[in-house]
Amino acid sequence: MSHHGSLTSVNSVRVVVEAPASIASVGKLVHALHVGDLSLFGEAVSSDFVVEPYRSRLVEYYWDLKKLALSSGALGFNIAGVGPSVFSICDSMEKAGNTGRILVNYLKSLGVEAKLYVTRILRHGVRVIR
Amino acid sequence: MRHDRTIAVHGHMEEDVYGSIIPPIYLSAIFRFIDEDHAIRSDRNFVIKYTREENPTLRALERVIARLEETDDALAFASGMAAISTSIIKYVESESKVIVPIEMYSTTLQLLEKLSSKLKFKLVKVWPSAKDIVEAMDRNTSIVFMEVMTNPTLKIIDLKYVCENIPNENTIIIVDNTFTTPILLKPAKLCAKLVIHSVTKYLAGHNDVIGGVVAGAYNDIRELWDWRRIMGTLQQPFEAYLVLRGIKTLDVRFEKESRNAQVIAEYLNEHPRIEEVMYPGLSSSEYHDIAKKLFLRNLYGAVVSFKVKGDRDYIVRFMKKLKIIKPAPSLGGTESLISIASAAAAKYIPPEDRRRLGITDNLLRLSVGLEDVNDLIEDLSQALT
Repeated sequence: MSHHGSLTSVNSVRVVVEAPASIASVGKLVHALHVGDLSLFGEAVSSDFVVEPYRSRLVEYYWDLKKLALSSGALGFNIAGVGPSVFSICDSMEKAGNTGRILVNYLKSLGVEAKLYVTRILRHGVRVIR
Repeated sequence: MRHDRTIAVHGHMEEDVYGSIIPPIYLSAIFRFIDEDHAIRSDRNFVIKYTREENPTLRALERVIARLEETDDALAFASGMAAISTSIIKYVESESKVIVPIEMYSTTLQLLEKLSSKLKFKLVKVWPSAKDIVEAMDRNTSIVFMEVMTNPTLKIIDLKYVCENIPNENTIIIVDNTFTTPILLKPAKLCAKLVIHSVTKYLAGHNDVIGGVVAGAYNDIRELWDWRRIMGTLQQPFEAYLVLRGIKTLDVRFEKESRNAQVIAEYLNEHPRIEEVMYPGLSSSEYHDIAKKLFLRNLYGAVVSFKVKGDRDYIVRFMKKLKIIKPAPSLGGTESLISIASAAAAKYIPPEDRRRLGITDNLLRLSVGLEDVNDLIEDLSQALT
């Protein structure tokens, strides 16, 4: 019990310490959306100081993938939802397909099966479809 | 039974008086000897007096090979061809029939052709399939010599089917297991009397040593040992040490190279400049199901053969443009290598057989190495444009 207690308090301290940086990222994200700056948007979604350091441990080869994606033309990279899916943001369908294939090839060469989805971001927000 | 990975590292079981963890290289050509009663003997009770006969460093390698192939014992030879020629000369009977597929490493075919006229045996060449091999076997057949994954078009021959249909006990099956390695296949467990490797390829794995091995049962290896002694076809101790060093990483190398090869085969299969990809790991390959049934792991080897759309000039240009992949013979090393099949491995297959087998002048054989798979794909991509 005492072990669990101390671990929780260490994590809490870390969250408190990293919170300003994460809030700054959210600010950057909102500003990027406001001015339509996709590069800044990618930078913002790639900068998570609270959740990513912990969840990334559950995604095989996560940091390799992030490095590979960002060096292959992706503007942003992070964990999708709770994982283990990951996402890249690119400024063209061609770049997205190319980055995705590089990531899938890398995982396959390590014996990890992966599926690639290349899609556009919805521009019209939420709609009721029935 | 230990895992192959553990056997590859510790299977030499060498122990010297100093407690060396790594087997020493015994370069001594000669050892103290008065007579057989007072001689020093190896672990298999052969006298150690002269390296051409028995050498402790070779023994360390031979023990690893035997344990990986799950045989009683093994012998190390100067090259794959030294292992093959010594084995054929020991086992072939004059006036008997020797069966080989029309496709295999063509220097082996060349050797058998030359020996058949000198030693007066009948060489019967058949289509590389289990059914054709079985149909050709009869009571007069002394040897069936085959690769399970053929070189260079990567056809898979169902060794299980061949084993189930051997007509009599005088027929022996010799399998060259170089392409598949004991990671994918242990032919002696199915029926092969001898399992042969060019250790130059995957077992040594670093493109820096030539060697061969034969693995088999105690009596067969004992008899073949005498032929190795007479013919002087043994491996040298320093080379044996290099193989022993390389073999420790066989499992991780072969697995990674095979996974790289799978990704590359899938990439080439979609490429507009590629006419055909031959790789048993592709689900569209006619050999996929049999490979899946036969192989011990969900891997399909690290060689990919493919035909490029273009004439000889285009192919030469393509090979010259490659920056990471090197144009060179051989396979199974850490470096990715590419060769024109008709000018290298299949050179001594007669043109008519090459045509039937689909070994055209635009067929390339790529041995996939340990490099990053995306770097290899980028290299192929820029060279194909």
